[in-house]
Amino acid sequence: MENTDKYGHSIYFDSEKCVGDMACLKVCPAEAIRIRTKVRNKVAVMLEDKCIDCGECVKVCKSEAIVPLTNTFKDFSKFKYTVAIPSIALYTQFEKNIKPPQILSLLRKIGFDEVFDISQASITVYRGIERHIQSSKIKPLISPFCPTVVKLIQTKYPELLSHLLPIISPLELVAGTVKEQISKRTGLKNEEIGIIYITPCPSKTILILQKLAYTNQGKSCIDGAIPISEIYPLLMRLVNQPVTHTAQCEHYEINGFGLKYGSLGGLTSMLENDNCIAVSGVNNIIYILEGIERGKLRNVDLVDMHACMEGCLGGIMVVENAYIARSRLNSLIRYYGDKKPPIGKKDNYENRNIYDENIYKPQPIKPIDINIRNAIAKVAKQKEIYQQLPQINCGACGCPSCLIFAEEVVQGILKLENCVALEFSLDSSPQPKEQPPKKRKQKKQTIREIPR
Amino acid sequence: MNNEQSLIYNQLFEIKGGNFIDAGSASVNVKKTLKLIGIPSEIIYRVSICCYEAEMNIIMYAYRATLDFSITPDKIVLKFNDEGPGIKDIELAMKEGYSTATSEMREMGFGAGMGLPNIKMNSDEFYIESEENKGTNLFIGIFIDRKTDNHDKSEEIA
Ligand code: SF4
Repeated sequence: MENTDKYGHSIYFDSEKCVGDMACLKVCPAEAIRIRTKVRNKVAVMLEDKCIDCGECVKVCKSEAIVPLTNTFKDFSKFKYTVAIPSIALYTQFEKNIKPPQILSLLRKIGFDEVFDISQASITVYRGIERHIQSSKIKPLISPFCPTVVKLIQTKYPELLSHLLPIISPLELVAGTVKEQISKRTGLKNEEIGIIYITPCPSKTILILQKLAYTNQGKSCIDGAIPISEIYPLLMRLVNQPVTHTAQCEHYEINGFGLKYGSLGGLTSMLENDNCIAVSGVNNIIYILEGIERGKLRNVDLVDMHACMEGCLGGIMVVENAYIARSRLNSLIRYYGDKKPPIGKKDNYENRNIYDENIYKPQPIKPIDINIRNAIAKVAKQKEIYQQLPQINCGACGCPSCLIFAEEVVQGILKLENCVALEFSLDSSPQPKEQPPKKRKQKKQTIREIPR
Repeated sequence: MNNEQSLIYNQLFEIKGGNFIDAGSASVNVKKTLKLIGIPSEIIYRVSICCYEAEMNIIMYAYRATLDFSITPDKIVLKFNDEGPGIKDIELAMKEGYSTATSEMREMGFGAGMGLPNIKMNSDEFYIESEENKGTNLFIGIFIDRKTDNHDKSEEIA
């Protein structure tokens, strides 16, 4: 995993492979992509202050030029002891006859020293959330378990950071607990134990890259992330020799009720509270955040937000399609029993602190100018330029919209003549192509006459 | 160019009464511009609450209105002029809100759904005049804290 920029992104744009086909330009909900001319070619670049690591661009790129940063097995050789914690989504990648304990056992077969399930921990977390909702004055609370959502709030809605639930994710709860237990039991140092998340999406990599304070220890306890899509073929090979391995299936306690956490709307259904809603898809989330910002949704207790349409089951690094995965998860939940476990029942995480205070800091997008006077002047200029543009958002200039093109012109990154829609009309006028930019305005007058 | 007077950004919006589908679109636009300029987020928050409450009041009660939005280096100004039923007793309208807004709501930065007191609470300057059966004019001013302006530093970078 390369630690590229100071924003710690989980996505890397490979300009060698990029063919500049602009597929990513329009899908980016954060308007973080530009197509720029490098030497002779046009390549996509990502603006680091704007990107929220949603992975939409990875999905649409056909030339594999946008690469999610995750680990490979080689990266783990530095650890003396490796622990795998799979996302619940991993359980849904296989046929119904292959149950989670077998999958967990197979993970040990491919080389992890120990493997842990998170369904138990998700119950502890859900109980914490239930308690917190009752005592919280802030409404609605927002679930912080999708890193893209957190990132979106940090960059675009910093005023809403206080709405994020100050509770750690089940993943962090398991990671923190087992790290402590293993280090006590084996005498190994924390750095020698590698906790590896088997992830459905690259955005979890932010947890590791940024060393964000996602836990009460001040930083994430996860040391690496490996995509489900990379683990899947290895497990598949072993699954196909069932006799030897199902026989050695170890005992893992899977909790059906806790498995609900793995799907979109799972958390809200666990809470059995009609004032909780689940929202997915970045644009829908933006819509809801705008509403919260204006003081709507005051009667809602919790909004569970996931950037991917089907929650983590729809992550970009899973193998099975999200709808099949959801039906499989439902049947697993039924298999293990979807009854709420009694409160008195003892578990591994009972005495752990799941609270996480004040951890998310704003990461505002860079303003057009850090001097307020210049900024005002520039914004005025931007609007002026925008008025001259065709406003068709064609994207040929490399910007997702004409408004952003106007911004780049003001910033001196692009020139007015980079607008091909203007250029096109200009070409058909008798003037030669190389014209000093000063005369543009006059020429625009002639453009307007052409459609007659 | 550094003449204070010339440093005004100005934008006009039209708001239609009863248009709930587009409700809040002016506030969204205002907020986008403020973010681009780099106004501190606490101030944007207050502006967007004022703007949204005023916009909603218009959508709920008035027929049509204009919003004149301007920014100078010191201040953000929102001027709403609407044609509508007007407000009978402004003092009462202001009072009502004060009694219903609990401390809890204020803590969260929201009002009691009663727009005017909430706007007043979130703004630095607030003037209102209204004529029954004619309309209401609202002036909202919010100061930009100059401490957040990195004037000297920016000279070097620029
Ligand atoms: S990951 Fe999402 S926000 Fe970042 S560049 Fe790609 S599409 Fe845009």
